Amino acid sequence: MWELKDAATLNLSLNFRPLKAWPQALPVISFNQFVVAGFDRLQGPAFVRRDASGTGLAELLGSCYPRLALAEGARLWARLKQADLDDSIVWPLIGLKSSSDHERLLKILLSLSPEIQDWIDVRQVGPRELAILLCFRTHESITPTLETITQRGFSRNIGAQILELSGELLLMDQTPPSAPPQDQDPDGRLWLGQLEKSRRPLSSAKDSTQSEQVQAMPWPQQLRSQWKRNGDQSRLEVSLSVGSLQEWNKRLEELSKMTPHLGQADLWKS
Amino acid sequence: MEELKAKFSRVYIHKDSLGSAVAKRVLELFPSDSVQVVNDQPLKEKNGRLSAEDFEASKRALYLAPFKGQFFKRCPGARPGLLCCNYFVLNLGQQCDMNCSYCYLQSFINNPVLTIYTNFDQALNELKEMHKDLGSSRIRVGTGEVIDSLSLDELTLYSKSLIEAFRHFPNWTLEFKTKSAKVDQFISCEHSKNVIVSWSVNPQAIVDSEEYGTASLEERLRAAERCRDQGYPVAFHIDPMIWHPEWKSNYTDLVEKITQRFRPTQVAVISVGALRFQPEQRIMMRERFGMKGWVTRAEVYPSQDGKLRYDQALRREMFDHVLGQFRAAHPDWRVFLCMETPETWISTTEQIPHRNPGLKDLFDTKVLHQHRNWSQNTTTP
Ligand code: SF4
Repeated sequence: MWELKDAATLNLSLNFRPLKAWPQALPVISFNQFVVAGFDRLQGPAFVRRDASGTGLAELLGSCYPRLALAEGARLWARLKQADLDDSIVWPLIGLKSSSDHERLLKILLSLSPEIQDWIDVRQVGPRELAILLCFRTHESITPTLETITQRGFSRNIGAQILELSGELLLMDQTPPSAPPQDQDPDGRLWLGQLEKSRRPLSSAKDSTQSEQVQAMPWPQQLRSQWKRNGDQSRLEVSLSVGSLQEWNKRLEELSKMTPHLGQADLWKS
Repeated sequence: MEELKAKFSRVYIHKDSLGSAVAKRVLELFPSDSVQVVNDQPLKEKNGRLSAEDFEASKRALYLAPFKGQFFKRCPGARPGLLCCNYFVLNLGQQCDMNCSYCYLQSFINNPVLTIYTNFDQALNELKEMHKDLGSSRIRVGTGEVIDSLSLDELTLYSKSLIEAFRHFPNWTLEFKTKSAKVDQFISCEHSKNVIVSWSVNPQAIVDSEEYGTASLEERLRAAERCRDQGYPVAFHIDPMIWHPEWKSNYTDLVEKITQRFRPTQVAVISVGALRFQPEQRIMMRERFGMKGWVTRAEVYPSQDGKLRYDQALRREMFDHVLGQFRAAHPDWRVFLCMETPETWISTTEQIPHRNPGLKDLFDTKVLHQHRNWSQNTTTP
């Protein structure tokens, strides 16, 4: 049953700071005395759903917020708990199953700054990408990494990889390399490469040596060559473009001259 | 048995399993206050992806229940792009009482109890039915895919009945695969030399750092010698090979131990594989074992099948090394690579697996087709 009331008379304790503002065109929505949408409006008309059993809250929240991001969900979960309401209704809203790991993750998210929480939500970072946080008893050591990722607004992909590698290095009792200055590394790729080198030192050193060897070879100008890693394999990649059969034959001839250089190099050893 | 008893803090017996021989032994062994008879799987609310804590706890909760479904499954290694020994898996339970850091059960187990299936007779019947159709084919049946074949066998005694059944299946081979040294319960059984008892082995340094609760390398080799002395063919799986700074000398030492104590004719096969795991398994491994072991800190990359593996060139070097050691000891050692990509196989053995005469049976696709037909025509409860 719905009632119309003045928003000023309602309880704002479920304000979980949703990421998107509630559209001005819509009224405040409340479940019994608890506002669930339109928290920024201190007065004005509010639609109040009266439900003595309390069972309609999940449905109402689902209608207002069909999908919540992780940190938003964590905040709502905490508010529901504080208000003595059923906090389990959060799980479908964030698309997760209730589990002790997910509960731990929500608690960790709540302990992070609002800026970090928002980066996680805006970039739609998922629980698997944040799983490294579950390995830390306290988060002081990993927080600076998260802060840098947030301040620089890295993409989900780069940010998640930086977090994972930094976290693993810290758990290995190693100090991860710090972020290069922003003007040298606007998207985080340089930092990611440095972290990669620290996390996989042996393979990275081998890749660099092989790459240097390839670069040092006398490749014909029209051919592009590089030593490239693709997953668990690293190999020589040579690319060429030709416009005629004559050119094709010429390139092949040039390529065949590379065979002795390739044979002498240490490229193919593990 | 006392050691076994100490492993479990809680025992659940499904009411339908109460009459089974395993349940009777369990009821004799465990104090009554630690045993509970249940109508359904306990802790069902935890089913699904287990947390590290729940996975840990699942190793200490024993559950005896009938298996609802078909016992026989194809080996999980056979996927497009990957090669694997062609064999059938008989799962007589799931989860393991030992604790290896790389264990693939960490990404597989989705219920919070170590389960032993009590309707073993049904498994035997399926086996007999399958034998009617495929009796003339060379089938290999393994029991150690999602539970160690022998570590709890003192309790189940399934090995004895299987050995007895395989006396009537002369073309088939049964393989027990274990990291325990539990062989007393079956060692004196009469057998038809078609039961291979196999051990996953690694240098003791890796046993110490990555294979918790397992028998030491020496105990495994001694148990293998005892089986060999009773006429059982034995096998060794040097799998997963794990890179560590002393890997070369430690694996050399391991090969020496095997080649000095066994002759090639006494060992049915040696399989070699390198560390590999599903990416999501890394999450649980990190939480359960930290990041200081050789497995969790391994330099691995996603490979063709999505699993994380060492760099291919490093794998090749590791395989070359072990294969070379065996070849140097004697050319008759039968060593093959398991769960490897065709590329690594070819570069290491210089042969396409299907063309390797010693491995032909392992890749016999006719057998697969027959089994598929058999599976389709068999209904299971
Ligand atoms: S012995 Fe096998 S099944 Fe058991 S924990 Fe080790 S790897 Fe897993």
